This record gives sequence, structure tokens and C-alpha cells, in this order.
Amino acid sequence: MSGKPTYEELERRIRQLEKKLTDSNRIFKNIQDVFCQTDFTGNIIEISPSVERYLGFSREELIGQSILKIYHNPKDREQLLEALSGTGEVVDFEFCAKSKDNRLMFGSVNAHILYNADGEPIGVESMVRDVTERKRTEKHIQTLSHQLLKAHEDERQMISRELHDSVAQDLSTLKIALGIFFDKDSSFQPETKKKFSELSKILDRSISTVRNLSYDLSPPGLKEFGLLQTLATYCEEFEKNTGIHVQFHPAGLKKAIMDPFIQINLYRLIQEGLNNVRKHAEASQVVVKLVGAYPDIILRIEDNGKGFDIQAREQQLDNEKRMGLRSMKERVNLLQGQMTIQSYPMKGTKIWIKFPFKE
Amino acid sequence: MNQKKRIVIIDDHPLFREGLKSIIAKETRYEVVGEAGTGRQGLQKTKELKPDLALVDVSLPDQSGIELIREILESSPQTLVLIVSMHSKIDYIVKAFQTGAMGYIVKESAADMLLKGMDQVIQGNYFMDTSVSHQVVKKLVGMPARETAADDVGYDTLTPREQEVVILLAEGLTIKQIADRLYISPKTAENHRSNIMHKLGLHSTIEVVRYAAKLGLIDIDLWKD
Repeated sequence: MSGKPTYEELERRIRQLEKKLTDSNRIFKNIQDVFCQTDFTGNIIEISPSVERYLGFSREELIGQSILKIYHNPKDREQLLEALSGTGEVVDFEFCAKSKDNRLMFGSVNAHILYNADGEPIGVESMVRDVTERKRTEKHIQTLSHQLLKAHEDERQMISRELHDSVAQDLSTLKIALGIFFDKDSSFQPETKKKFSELSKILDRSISTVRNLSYDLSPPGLKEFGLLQTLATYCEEFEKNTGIHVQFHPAGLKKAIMDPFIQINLYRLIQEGLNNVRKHAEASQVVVKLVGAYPDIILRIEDNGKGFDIQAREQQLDNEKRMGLRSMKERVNLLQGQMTIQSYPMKGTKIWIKFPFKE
Repeated sequence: MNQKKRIVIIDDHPLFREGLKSIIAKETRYEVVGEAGTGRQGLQKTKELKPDLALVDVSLPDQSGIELIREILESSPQTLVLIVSMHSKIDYIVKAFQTGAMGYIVKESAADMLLKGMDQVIQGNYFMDTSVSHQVVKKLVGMPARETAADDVGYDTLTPREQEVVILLAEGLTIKQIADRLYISPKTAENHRSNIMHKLGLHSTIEVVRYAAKLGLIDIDLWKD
């Protein structure tokens, strides 16, 4: 039976709506995150009272004000709008907010375009979550791992220098001194002399081992001959030692003046990249391209090996605590760069790294 | 009249210098007239004594021995330089000879090779330790191939701004888009483009893309999952 609803029926519906409204209001007042509506000029139409907990502004202080009042950097807002203009929706967009007493906070925004009843876009509706603590922890972890890498590097250099300038040096001195000693005094039995020449060979071996160890720990000649020359030599030796053909193509960096920090990290990235190829890829060829693309530097390491399943490998790495790819990622972070890995079974692996470079 | 040849030894390890001196002492035709433990002292000694031969270590505490070779030859041109070094890397050897050294010996070979090397150098010949000559020759033999591989010399002549433009061109941006991206006028962007084409000897956007892919600026051979 159709027709007008009865009075009782209307009353019941109103009570239902009232209850919904109270519920919504309670939720609105008590939500942890911050709910916010703005029009397209950036004026705040509505914002949840929770904002006060984070930024110190009351809801009433903000309504009618420009949203930029709580942005530390207006560029963030521009970027958010730009991202919204694509699909009409943004997830986990991070920005830096500024509180009433000028503290900086980090927020993560989920936003979408707001429409009126006629389906016309009228503004932006967003939900903001405070991620300041997470950001701080991330930063802290990053600082620590940077320090770790740096300490590691310093220690390597120190050990390398000691091995080369002290241990290998002393062994060489010892060799000369013994040589003179046995040579001078001809009263030694021929057997003794023969024994000496055997011992001398052992000394030679030790010197060569110590020297290689030292060169392995710290690239020789980086300061004297520059990064490109040192890398070219490294690649040649890698090829000689492993039988894997290495093509090293540097371009656009001859005139670049890189600080030692970038040099050593680039060297390590290539060293680690090539070592990964040697250990895992079963490749016959690697191409290393290093290109200056102002204001960035691009590094590519591409092999023709067996490839691998990237996700499985990452899990495996987490389990085994192996450092290969992970330490490369850390280093790239250290250089504030980006890194991607592409791998395809039976085709090989491509590593792409890009980081900013300022002279 | 055979005068003794006068030698200066520059090495920061006193015991090693002693070792060298003892080897040299066996030969009456040589005489060690001075020694030094730093580059600065070494330069002073050679300036002062004008020796026939200087035995120089390439890693000294105060300066690179490579620089020292240059300074010695400037201040005492008649002095011949023989390097006695812990380093066996080819880069050091090549650089030492390029800078004017006449001989190179790694330290552990000194007992066997020092006198032979000194004799050769004093006669005006080059001398290279047999334990390192192998890798040097190998490098020389390999060189022509490496040279021809370096066909991207043009790229090194680009300015930073031009490097910025190449990658954008290769990524398929129009002149207008490049201008917007770099906050320059379309006219300036067009100028950059024509300078780049000229410097790299390219004639079309397709060629730019191919060139950029070859250098590694972009990847056109993306694998599909």
C-alpha cells in the first residue's frame, strides 16, 4: 500500500535521523585523525575539533581561514592539488604542518574532491593522520644507518692504510734486511741459504696478500687519479679476476668535481653491484653506465645473468640478513637518491640508481 | 774518469731506507749522499745536492710522491728519478712515468732489482720491475679497443643545462614542456636543443632517444612482467 507516511512513521524516521546525527557528531568530535573540508580557494569550511590536539588551533579559530595557515610549506598544498587533479583522489600524501606555537608536525593525507548535490566539484575533503612520531623514528633510523655506513667506511680506510703503509711495508723491509744478512755472510751453509730463499718466497706471498687485502678494503688512487680512472681500473681487474666481461661507460662527468663522500659511495655501489653479479647472477657480461645528467647522476648496472624474483629475494634477504642489495639501498638513501631493480628470469638484472649531485 | 754516482733516498720508513743503503753500499760506483723522510725534506735535499739519482717512494706522509717527481725535476733537472713504491697498481706506474720518472720498482723486489734498475736508469734507459711490467703491457695492448669504445666524447662538452635538456628531450617532452619545466623561454629551450644536436652530431629526436639510451640516461628496453 502506497501513499503518504503516517505521522507516527515520520516521527520514527526523524528520531532515527536524530540518532544518526548525534552519533556522527560524537564521532566527529572524538576522532583521532583530523577531518577537513576546504573550498577550491583553500578556505576551511569544516574541520574536526581533533585539530586542536595536534596544532593548538581550535576548530572555531580555523573555520573560514585559509588552509595555508597550517601548512609549513605552501608548495606541499600545490602538490596535493596537482595530485588530486589526476584521479580526483590522493592516498598517503605527506606534508609538513605548522602548529599555533610554530612547531613542525608531519601529516599523512587521504583526500578526494568534494561534490555538491548537483554533482559539481566544490572543494576538497580530507582525512589527516599525525605521522610526526613515525617520521622522527624514520629519520633517526636513517641517521643511524648513515653513521654506521660512514663508520664502516672510515674503519676500512684505516685498516687498509695500516695494512699497506705499515704491515706490507714492514714485510718488505724485513725481506730486504734478511736478504742483505744472508748475502753478506757467506759462511752460511748452502742449505741455510736455500731455506732462506724458500722463506723469502713466503714473505713475497704475504706481501702480495696483504696488499690485495688493502686494495680491496679501500680503493687505491681515488685521490690521486680521480673516480673515473679508479673505476675503469677496478672494472678491468674485476674482468680479469672473474672472467665476466665488464663494459664501463662513463659520460658527462669528466669536468665534474665530486666531493670525496660521493666518490667513495659511488665506488662502493659499483663494487657491491659487481660483487652481487659475481656471486649470484651467473652472467657473462655486465654493463656499467655512469652518466652526468645535471642536476643528477645516473648509474646503471646491467647483467645478462639468470635474473631473480625480486620479492622473494627481498624476503630471503630479510631472513638471512645478507647485505648485498640492502647495503646498496642504504647507500643510495645516504646519497638521497632512488634505486630500482628490474630482473627477469634468463634475461638478467638491471639496477638503476639516480641521485642528486651538486658541485 | 769514473766518478761515483750520487744518490738521494726519499722514503718515510727509516728501516727501509737502511735496507736500500745496505744494498747500494755493496757497489762502489754508487754513493748515498742524502736521505729524507718527507717530501718537503726530499725536495730540499735534491735542490741542495743535485744528485744523479733520486730513489722516491710515491706515498709520503706530507704529499704525493707523484707531485714530488715533478718538483724534483723542476728544481734539479739533471736528477733522474727511480720510484721504489709499495704500490703495484698500474695507475701509479703509468702516472709516475708520465710525470718524468725513469724507473719503477715495487718494494718487495728491491733486493733483487734495485741495482739493476739503478744501472739502467743512470744510463738513461727506462726500467720497469718485471713483477709489474706484465700488467702494464697488457694494459697497453688492450688500450686501442678501449679508446674506440669511448665514442661519447661529445657528451662531455655539454653544459649542465644542456645535460638537463638532453634527458627531457629523450623522455619525449616538447620544447614548450621543457621550457615550462626549467623555467626558461621556449626560445632558449630551442637554442639549447640546437646546440645539443650540433655538439652530439645528431639530427632527429629519434637519434636523441637512441643516444640517451646508449649512455644510460633512459632505458628503452624495458622488460614487461
